[in-house]
Amino acid sequence: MSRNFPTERFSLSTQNSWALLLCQCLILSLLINELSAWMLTIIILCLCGHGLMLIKPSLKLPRVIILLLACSGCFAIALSGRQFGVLLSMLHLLCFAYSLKGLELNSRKDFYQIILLGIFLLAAVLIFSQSLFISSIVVCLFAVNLTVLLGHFFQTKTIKKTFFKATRTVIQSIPLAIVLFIVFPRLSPFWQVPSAKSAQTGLSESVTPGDIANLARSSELAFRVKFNTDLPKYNQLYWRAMVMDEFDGRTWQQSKNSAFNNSESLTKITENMPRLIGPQSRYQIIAEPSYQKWLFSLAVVDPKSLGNNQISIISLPNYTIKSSKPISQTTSYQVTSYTETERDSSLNDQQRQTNLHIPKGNNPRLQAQGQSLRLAYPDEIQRAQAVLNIIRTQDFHYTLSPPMLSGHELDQFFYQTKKGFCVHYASVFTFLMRASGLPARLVAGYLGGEYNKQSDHLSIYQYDAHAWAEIWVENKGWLRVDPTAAVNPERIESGLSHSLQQDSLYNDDLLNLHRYKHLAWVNTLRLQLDSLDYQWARLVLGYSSKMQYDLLTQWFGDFKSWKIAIIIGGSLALMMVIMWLVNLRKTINKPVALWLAHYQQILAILKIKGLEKPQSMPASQFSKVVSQRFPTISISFVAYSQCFEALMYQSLTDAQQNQTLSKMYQQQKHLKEQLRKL
Amino acid sequence: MATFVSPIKKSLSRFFNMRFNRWLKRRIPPASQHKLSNRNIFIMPSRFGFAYITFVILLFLLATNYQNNIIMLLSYLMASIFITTMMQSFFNLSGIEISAEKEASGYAKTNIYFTVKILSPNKRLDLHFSFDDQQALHLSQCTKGEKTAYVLCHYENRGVYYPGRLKVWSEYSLGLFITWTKIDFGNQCSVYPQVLPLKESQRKFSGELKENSAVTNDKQGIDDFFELKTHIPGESLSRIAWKQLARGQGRLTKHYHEQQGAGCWLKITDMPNNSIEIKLQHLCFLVNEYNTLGQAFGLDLGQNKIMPSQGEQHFKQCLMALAIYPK
Repeated sequence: MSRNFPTERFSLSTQNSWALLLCQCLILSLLINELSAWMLTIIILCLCGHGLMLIKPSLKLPRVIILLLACSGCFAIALSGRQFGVLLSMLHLLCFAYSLKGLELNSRKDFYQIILLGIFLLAAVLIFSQSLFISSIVVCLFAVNLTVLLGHFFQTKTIKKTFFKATRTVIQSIPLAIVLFIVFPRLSPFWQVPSAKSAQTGLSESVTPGDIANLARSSELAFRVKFNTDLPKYNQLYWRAMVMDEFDGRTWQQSKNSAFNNSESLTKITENMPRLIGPQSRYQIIAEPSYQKWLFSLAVVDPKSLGNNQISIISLPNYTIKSSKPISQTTSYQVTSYTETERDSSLNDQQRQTNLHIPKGNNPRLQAQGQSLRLAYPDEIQRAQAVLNIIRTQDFHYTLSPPMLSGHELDQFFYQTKKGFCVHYASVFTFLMRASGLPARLVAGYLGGEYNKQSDHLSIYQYDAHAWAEIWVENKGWLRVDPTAAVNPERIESGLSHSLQQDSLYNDDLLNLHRYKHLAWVNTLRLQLDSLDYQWARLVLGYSSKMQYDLLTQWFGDFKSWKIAIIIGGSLALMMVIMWLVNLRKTINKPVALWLAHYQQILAILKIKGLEKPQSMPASQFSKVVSQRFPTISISFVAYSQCFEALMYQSLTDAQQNQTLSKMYQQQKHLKEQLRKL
Repeated sequence: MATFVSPIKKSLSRFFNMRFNRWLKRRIPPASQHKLSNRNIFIMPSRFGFAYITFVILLFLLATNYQNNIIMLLSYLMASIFITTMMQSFFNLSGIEISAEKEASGYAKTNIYFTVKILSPNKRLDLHFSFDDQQALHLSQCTKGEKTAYVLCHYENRGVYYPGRLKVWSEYSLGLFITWTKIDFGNQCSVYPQVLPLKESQRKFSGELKENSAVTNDKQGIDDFFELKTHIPGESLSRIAWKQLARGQGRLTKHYHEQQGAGCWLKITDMPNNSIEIKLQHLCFLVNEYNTLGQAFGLDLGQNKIMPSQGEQHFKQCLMALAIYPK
């Protein structure tokens, strides 16, 4: 081996160096959203330096400067570590190392390191997003990364060829990867890992009138639902996320009592659990990451149906459900609800107090009106109906851009501006009910959803965010009242806030397909993409050990480890055999054997006729010998040998080869006849 | 501790090497031509290959801890690529036919090349050839058809060497594997002493000319020109009469008087310096010089005497005698 000799200095071809730089830029650009501005600046500087070094090879950064840069960068990351959290700090460090390594490619080891770092960063991208779109980009960039690696061993004129070769390698490997994905046993997490802490999206923990307006303009996906039972009516799809029963005069939020989730309260729930009656709704929810803990469900959830899920879900006394950890990646869970079940036939004192509380002196006009309503309508349901009538008959408007409110906001809204959206109406309604002595609370969640026929699922977007009220009536329990229905029945009945569409206020980018919903073909395309993305989320992202167990028992009868070993081994062998066969077909050059075989047939006939070709004699010379001996076949034999020689020794294109071969074949037929006559 | 361990380690590795070579001898016996196939190709993950597999496991752990199916899919894809690459690296060597020149010769401290013929059925990439402990030849690609490569041997001292098996290896396609084979052609490498010129003063001292005049009947010196004959292809170029050629008299060869004589004797005892190696190096220089001049000479190495003669065969015989002179 060459260990005694100084090996050649490591260098990448120019083309490959540029490919590496491009690959670095592409991979880092996927992480732009996660990196802080100063880190991005450093990374861009490093990449520019790398580019400059490629343009001017004489330029070389001294090691000391690189070392200094590395140290100061690490120091800066360590300083801002508390702000970033563990995961982001690690990511910053990796990205920094990845861009810096490009400046110092002195040995093959450095090159290998940069390739593996690149792949690791691609994996890191997948921690933050697992959508079909991002995943396909990651696979493409993975192939680009392999291209750079392959380019070191496979030097071609154009990088395109190398890229195709790398892509072919990836494609060849996909079947086995899929088999492994399906059958390889899934393990539970070994240890706690820092999860992605992105900005929380969707509903927030507290609601102030004016809050949901921003959400209503976002066409981002919140979650998807697949019903195993019949799809309920649109106006029954009130996806409850949070119950807000504490009001401080301005903001609604969850009281500590209702949000608590210690074991004591849990046992209480199971004790107080009402008898589940009425029609059953079974559905699977695939939630997009919100980086928050609350989950969506229809009331009332059967707590027993939550046990089978991949994540641990807690059912709260206010009939909402909550994950034990923030949802940081697409997560699916299965829920069964009984929508007609009565909730809380009795309230304890503490609950009653919480749900009646309004700060003293807050919104005095509404408080006064509440008092008069109480006197006017002793029956609770009639009282609620009366408030809805006020909203319906007076000049209230539903709009996403209501005028600014200040001071006693609810008074101002109810008596002066009269313009608002769901949160305003739900707040006012709840406030009035409390003022009139009826326990009431605000519920935040989503309403409805877009039905996708192709894959039979509902997609709920952020603009479906909604707030409504619940009142407690003796012997009936909590009842849902949606004051928005009084002002904008369309929103409740068919979804798609048409008033929003008139506002046309999606504040997303121009490329957003939601913007062009009115174009039929765009909408079809959008629904198709949605369906594809849904299948991806359901089958790939949602593939859990339970799903694996079900699938494998369905296919192979039972779930035995030896069967899995056989499947993996078998598919490995199959892949190898297929590659072997493909390679065999490539190396055995059939035509060579073909024309040689033809020629040898003729030689065999000539041998019988008494003329043998010496091994060393060239075909052209032999044709002269044949011409002398058998003048009758002279012309055809000379032409025949010429064809043979062309095929044998000249490098012909495929087309020429086929042409010459067919010519040779015809001459052979003719020749054979002539030889028979001799 | 280290001093205690290292001899054990060394002897262990020697033992395994020996066992391995014995096994290799049975597995791949010497032949003049080898066709690479699953019988003689070995595949081992390279260091990078091991690093890659460790990385795949790391990625799998990451995916499991995050319960992230896409990262898991990526780790499976990488594992699968590992297998694909293994097959590719095998296909890259398999089917190549290699034959090598059995013998090569040259001077010590110079590069000696073995001619290796590679017949590849289609395009192959990143091939390395080397003999044990010798510098490797790297072909970044080898196109379809026959190709000749020159594999280098370099020896510090004269002698006859057996460079051992020719190692052929490749790291195609992703550097994850080293695919290699060690094939035996029974190569033999004759290494002549280094050429060490004699200075003019030393030459007189050696008494070389004296010997000449004693042996030759003719009193004429080496440079004495005798006649011009028509050039016979194969005759040394140094003897072409360039002047006559320039005048347009055709290609003629100068013949000197000494050639008719019995030639001179080159004696080891006549060489200056005490060291035998240096004496041999001087002799090697003289043998070369006499050969280029086309002069007959004999070689006297004490026990081994080669009668004066000339020509390529004689020249080789003399050099060989110098190479194998007992140390």
